[in-house]
Order: sequence, then C-alpha cells, then structure tokens
Amino acid sequence: MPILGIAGAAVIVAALLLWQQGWLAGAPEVVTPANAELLDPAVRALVERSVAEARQQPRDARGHGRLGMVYEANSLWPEARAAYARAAELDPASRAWRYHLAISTQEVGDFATALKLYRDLAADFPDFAPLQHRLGVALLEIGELQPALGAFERVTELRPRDPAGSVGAGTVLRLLGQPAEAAERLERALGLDPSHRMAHYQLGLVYRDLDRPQDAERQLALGLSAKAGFLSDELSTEINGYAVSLPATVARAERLRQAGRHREVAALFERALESRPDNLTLLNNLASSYLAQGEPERARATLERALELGGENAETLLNLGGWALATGRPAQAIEFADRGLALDDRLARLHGVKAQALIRLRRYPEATVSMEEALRLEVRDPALFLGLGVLYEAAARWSDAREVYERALLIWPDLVPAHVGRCLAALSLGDRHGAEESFTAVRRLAPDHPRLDALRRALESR
Amino acid sequence: MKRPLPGWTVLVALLLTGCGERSPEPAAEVGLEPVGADAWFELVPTESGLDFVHQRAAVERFWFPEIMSGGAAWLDYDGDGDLDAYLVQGGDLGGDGGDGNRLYRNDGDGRFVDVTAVAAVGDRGYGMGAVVGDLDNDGDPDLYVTNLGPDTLYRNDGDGSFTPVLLPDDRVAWGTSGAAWDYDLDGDLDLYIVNYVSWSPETETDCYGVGGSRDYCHPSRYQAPAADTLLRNDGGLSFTDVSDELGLLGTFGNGLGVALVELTGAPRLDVYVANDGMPNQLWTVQGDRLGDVAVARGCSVNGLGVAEAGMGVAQGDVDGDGRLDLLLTHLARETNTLYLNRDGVCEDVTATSGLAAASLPRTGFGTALADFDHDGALDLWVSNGRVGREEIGSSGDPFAEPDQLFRGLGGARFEELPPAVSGVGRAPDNSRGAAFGDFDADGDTDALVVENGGPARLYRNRATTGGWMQLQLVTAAGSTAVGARATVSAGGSTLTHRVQPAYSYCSSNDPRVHFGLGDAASVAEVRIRTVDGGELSLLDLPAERLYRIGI
Repeated sequence: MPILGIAGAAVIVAALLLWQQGWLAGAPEVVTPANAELLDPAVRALVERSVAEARQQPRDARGHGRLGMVYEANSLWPEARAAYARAAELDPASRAWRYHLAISTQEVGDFATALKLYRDLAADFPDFAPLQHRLGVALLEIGELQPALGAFERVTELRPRDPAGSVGAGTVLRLLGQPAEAAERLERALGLDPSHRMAHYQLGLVYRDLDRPQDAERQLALGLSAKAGFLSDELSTEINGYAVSLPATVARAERLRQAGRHREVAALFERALESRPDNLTLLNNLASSYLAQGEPERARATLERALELGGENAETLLNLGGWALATGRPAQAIEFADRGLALDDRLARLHGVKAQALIRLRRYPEATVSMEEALRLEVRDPALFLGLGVLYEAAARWSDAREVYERALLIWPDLVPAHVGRCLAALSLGDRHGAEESFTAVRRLAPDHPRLDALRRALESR
Repeated sequence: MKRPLPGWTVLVALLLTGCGERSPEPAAEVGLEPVGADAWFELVPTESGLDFVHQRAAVERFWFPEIMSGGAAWLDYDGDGDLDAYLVQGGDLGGDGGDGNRLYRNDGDGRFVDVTAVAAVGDRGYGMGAVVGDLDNDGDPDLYVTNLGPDTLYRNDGDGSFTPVLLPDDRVAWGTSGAAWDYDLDGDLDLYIVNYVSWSPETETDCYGVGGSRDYCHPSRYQAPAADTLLRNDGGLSFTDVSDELGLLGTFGNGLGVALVELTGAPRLDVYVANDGMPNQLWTVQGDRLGDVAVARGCSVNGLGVAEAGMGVAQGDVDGDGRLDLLLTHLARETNTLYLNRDGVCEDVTATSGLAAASLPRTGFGTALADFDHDGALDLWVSNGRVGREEIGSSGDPFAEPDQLFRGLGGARFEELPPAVSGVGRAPDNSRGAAFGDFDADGDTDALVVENGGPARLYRNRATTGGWMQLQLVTAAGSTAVGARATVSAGGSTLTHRVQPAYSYCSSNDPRVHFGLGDAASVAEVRIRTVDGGELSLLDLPAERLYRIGI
C-alpha cells in the first residue's frame, strides 16, 4: 500500500504538472510592449507590475484587462487592443473588455472593425449608454444618420439628465433636414448644461437654417472650438488612475485646474516629481499650482530649483513674475518679465505679467503698451481684452476702449465685463443706442450685476 | 452685363498638343505591394535626376520645426514651357543646417538637372515652403521661400538665375505656406505668408507621447500662435508689411495651410488659412481692411464646432454645381474635412463623402482636388505623415504613413483606391508638402511629394482615360493671371476652376488650370472672368490641348 501510495502520489503530481503545463500552454500570452526601455519610468514600473500580475493568473481575464487599462491610460493603443482582446476572449460575457477592445481598435485606426465591435456589443447590451453614444458618434462620422439618431435617442432614454444624447440627436436631425426638431433637442441639451459648446454650435447652425441670423451668430460664437467627448463607463475611473505618464499627468492636472481643484493639482505634480525630480515642466507646473492655491513661498522654492536645473528659461521667469505679483513685488515682477522677454519677446503671458505689474505701480502708459503687445500676440485670452479696456478707460481713450470690448465680444458674446465696458465707453462717446444695447445684454446675462444700477442711472441721466 | 476684354488682349495660342511618351515600367521594388500595370501613378526613378533628399535632424532632440518641414513648387523658371521643380530643405536646426534648397530644371525629355548653383537659389535657411508668382510683372516667376527665421525672396532675372531681394526687416517668423495675391487689385501680386508658432530653441520644451516616451510637442504646448503677414507690393520688388494696418493681428492661429479661395463667386479671391488646432480664418477685403468671415461662412471649425488640426487646403467643385468647395487635411483621429459651398456658406459633408473612415487613422498634409483620370469628376490626393509616434515598438520611421488617393465619384462622394490600383501609398513615408502639375506635358496632373527626412517622390500620372484641356491664362505682361476664373462646358457638363497655384501644404502648384473632359472630344464654350470683372468667351475648342490665353 505505501508503495502504491507513493507511486499513486507521484502519478497524481506528474498528472498535475502535466495538466498545469497544458493549462499554461493554452493560456493566452500576456501582452508586453516592445522597446519598453523607451517608456516613461513610472509607466514602465506600472507595466512591469501589471504584466507580472497577469502572468501569475494567465487565464484570469481581469489580469489581462487590467493590463489593457494600464496601456490605454498611457496611450499604448496597440498593446491595449491586444490585452483587451485576450481579456474578452477569456471572459466574453464582460461588456467592459469588449467595449474597450472596440475603443482601442478604433484608436489604432481600424475603424471598420471597431464599428462592427460596437454594433455587436450594442446588440448584446442595448442599455449600455456609453457604448450607444460611441456608436452614435461613429455612425454620424460615416454618414449613417438614421442609425446614429437611434443610438443617440437611446442615450437620451438611458441618461435623460446628460445632454450628450440630445446634442447627438440634434446634430443628426439638422443633417436630416429637420431644423425645428433639432432646435428642440439642442435647446433641451443647453437646459441641462448651458456651457455645452457643441450644443451651442449646432444650435447656431440650426438657427441659420431657420433664418435667425442674429441668434445663429451668437450661438456659433459661443460654440466655437467645441471639444468632442464621450460618456464615462465602469472602467473610466480606474483607467484614469493608471495615467502616470507625464502627458497623462499634465492632462489630468489641467482638467483639475479648470475645475479649480488646485490642491489636487499640486499633489499630482508632487507625486510625478518623485520619479522625475529634474523635470522642468513638472517643476514649473507645480510652482504654478502653488501660486494658484495661495502658497507663493513654496512656489518660489520650486522655481529656485527650476532655475538651478535649467538656468534662465521663459516659463520659469514667467512663474517668478507671477510669484512677485502675488507677494506684492511689482518691481521684481517687471524684472523677471524683462528677463523672460529677453529670451523670447513673443510670449504674450510675459507681456501680460509685466502689464499687471506696471498697473500696480500706476505706470499706466507703459502698462498699456505691454498689454497691447500681449494682446497682439494672444487674441484668445479674455483677461487681456478686459485689462486693456480698463487701461483705455483710465486714459479716457473711449473709442479704443469700445473697440477692444467689441473685439472681445466677437469671440465671447456673453462676456459680461466687456458688455459693461462697452456700455460705459458708448455713454462717454455719446452713443446712447450702443449703450442701451450693452445695458440690455448685461441685464439679460447678469441680472444681479453690481454695476447694473449705476449703468441704468447713467443711461437715464443722458 | 459682360464687359468685353480689349481686343488686343485676346490671344489664343496653341502651345502643345497630344500626349507625351509613356515611360517604361519601373523596376520591381522588393517588399512592396505589386502595382498593377494600369495603376494610376508610377514613381519616376531618381535616375531622372530629381534626387532631392529632405534632411531631418536626429529624432532624439524633438525640436518642433523639424517634424513640420518640407515644401515644393512647380514653376517654369526658364520660360521653356515645362515645369521645373523647386524643393525646400530642412536640415539640422541645432547643428550645421542643411544642404540648402534645390532647383531642378526640367529638360522636357524626362530628365531633371540640378541647376541650383547656376540659378543661385540654394537658400540655406531652415526651409518650410515656397511661393511662386511674378512679383515684378516682368513675365517670369519669382520665388519666395518661407523659413523658420528670415524668409528669402528671389527675383527671377530671366537669364536662368535669380537675385535675392531685401524684405522688410521685421519679417522674421516661422513662415509655412504662402500665396501671391493681389489683394488691393493694383495690378501687382502681394504676398500673404502664413505663420505657425512663435518658436525658438529657448522656448522648446520637453514633450511626451505614447507611454510617456519623448516625442514632438503639439503646437498648443507653446501657447504662442503667430499672426500671419501680408506684404504689400509697392512695385519694384519693394514690400511693406501691412499686417497690422489691415487687421491681421486681430485674430490668428497656428497657421499651416493656405489657399486662395472663392466662396461667394466674387471676382476677387479670398484667403483661407488652415490653423493647427485653432479656428481657421477666411480673410476677405472689406474696404481698406481685411475681415475674418470664417465663422459666418461656416469654415472656421468643422460641422461639430470642433477646431481641427488644419494642415493642407485644396479647393475645387466636387459636386458640379459651379461653386468651389473646400477640403482640409487634418491630424489622425480627426477626419479630413470636406466643406460644400452652399451659396457662400460652407457645410461640412465629410460624413457622407466617403472620406471620413479612411482619413481617421492618418495625418494629412499635402493635398489636391484634381481630375487625375479625366473622367470629369475631381479626385483627391492626400499625402500623409505623423507628427508624433503612434507606437513605440515599430521599426523604421515611426512617423511614416501611406499616402492616399481617392477617386471622385461625382456628387461630392469619393472612394479610396487601393495602392495596387492607385500606385500611391505602396510604402509608408513621412510626407509633407505635395506640389501638383503636368511636368511631362502629357495633359494630366502629376504629383511631387516631399518626405520629411527622406527622398522626394515624383509620381507620373498614367490614369487618364478621357479627354482634357489646359488653360494658361496670362496677363498682358505675360504673368499668370492669378484669380482668373475659367468655366468650361463640354459633353453636357460644366467645370469651373480659378487660377490659384497656392494650395496644398507649403507648396506652389502648376499655374495652369486643368480640366478632365470625359468622353468629350471638344469644348463647347470656355468662359473666362478676370479679377476685375472682365469676361471673355471662346467657342468650340478642340480638346487635348493647352491654350495660352492673354487676358
């Protein structure tokens, strides 16, 4: 019996080993990037960790899928596609792997296959709103308007509080020659999100079709430079967390900055600097976020480090100018700006910093020159228009002030301070009609504006 | 009411007839998809003498201008009736520079001869593009070279050589494409120069692409779009920078492409500027200033309101309604965008054109809407090449992509031709500028493509199955009549072109207008309108001819 037992155990062990080898042999290969040495160190470390984990459980879809997410988060699309394909093969019931397989297939340029994957997935998961939205956009891109409309309508049903479905449906309805229906959808979308640029732009096109040129002009201006976007899905948050490359970090920080979450921005850059302590871009971005959250001395220390590492460069000097302004040192801000301008006099923001410093020192004529130069170089910053307008007002250059406010309003038709400024300028120039026009705009856009009563009184006294 | 042209100006001279000789089949190329015997284009071997190789510095430094350079021009500099080739060089921006630009004389027998030294046009600035126009109205084309830094203007001396001409001192920018345009209708050509980004080595910054690996930056990273420049021709090759005076500094973007365009049918052309990742401009003359009417005319951003990465521009009537439409090439993940001209307002019809899916994976630069096969419908050429890596594991040039040729189906629809049929895009290259013209004088449109960091490629067109007509419209001085409008009625169709060599990317093209006539053996009527409103009509002209017409 003992002999039999040992032999039996040996047979079992051997069988298990054979089975394991066969099991492993049949397992999909874990996807690794070629030329991994070119990767950002933080990305490489994350990839190596994820590859090792996937290799421990090669038949586990989650390991391959997680690796796919790591690749996707860092724009390694061919690798992401291959990893998601393995995950989807191991777990075909999962919509997430199939969905991201389709996305990465589209990203590597295989549009036809991606579309087929979207369509197959939509048949299996008709209630998956992010997929329906992607499908709608893809169909719209190739002119399959009726199916695109169906997909966008489904998004609206599934996510009635999200404007994406209505924007898509409105876009398609306009192309189908149904402007009234399109307008209804787009106005509904703007009711959900008044800042939705794509909805504004589409509505502008619709109003043009409906022969409402003034409304069209305003909506088109509000919608100019819209951004395409997609609905988030169950993997989105996790994928964002894997975005550890420098561009991904900067992009994420930018989104947070726009949302005013400066502490989180600073934390992101601090973490990123741990693996790239000598990176000037990160140091400057970190300093900028310290300034934005009101920690000028931390910004200064960070900028000193940037100067040590990179010597004089325009970005660092710009931030030092910002630090000097923030700490009440306008003369020093001018000095930093001038040093930056000596390196590159075509950076609008350096002229802008110098202009702000000169304003603090009440050197208005010089400030005007700097602000004009900044605006000559950068015509898409409303602060520069408004700053120059105020300087013109201070110099009683009312005609110039009105012109600069009107230029701003061509780009941002709802920029309230520009309407206020234009109203004042028009009053000073004796243009009652123009002043009334601007006053009406202020009242419509900002009924609680603190200067509204003063403007009304000024109008009434003329 | 038609205003007749003065009788003395109507000079119709038959310059050329019939088709040129076909070249022998090129030797088989190892590793490439075989090209069919009836492929639309064949590569002209470098033994022809056109051996230009564009130089790009070592990739590892990633200075932004290096990935954008590469332009070309067709011009008949020696007045012998055939097109000569000018190619613009990049080089090692931080090192010894490049070998300088090259001018190749077309000897008309399929041979090109490098005449750079004799012609003295080997500008060694960091080159981007070339603009051709008879700026001094002496009947021969002059040459303007856009550079990163000071541009160079060469006066054609008419004896096979050129002389550099001084430009306004402050004309130092990163010029890209340009157009010779008589904006003030004073009879001489002014210069509209598109500028990209205010860049210098000091403002260069580290950027990262896939997987955080080093890569070229996106222009938005510099936050320094550069305003364009308009140089008014004061006569005698003296120029004044009137950009500020005319209002060009009021709105601008990261400019790359330019074309002289007609949207409203007005005699005077407008200037359309394609900006990279920012709204485009459409400049039209409004009194004594220029006004940007791109938003109002629907060609500032695409149909979704998104500002795309404009690179190249072309114009042509793709739906046969007599109005000229617009085509823009863009970055990967954006479509190339086709705007149909609806009574002067652009409508983005990319989705229904057949162009969307095929262009999404590619980054387009040089482009042309031309009837390559003479069936009466405009086809589309797009030269492609990346500006950033898409993957880190690829061997070879990580920026290379295949060029594309789309057959026009009429009605603003296109289909992509496979490389075996088109003869184009059989191997990926990093294409930038592309200049189009009939270099072999056989009546069809050929293509010269510049590869960033590689050899230029000259494609001979052999697709033609139908008839054709070319018009060389010239002024009394013998200069190209830029902006003239030609409408041809043949075989029941009406085809329209404007004389406008400035289109594509950083390139200047054949100044003659070309029409594919399908089965028509003759042209019932040619109607010509000049930029000052003069009109001329010619009846019953045989096809398969180039007509030189003084207007």
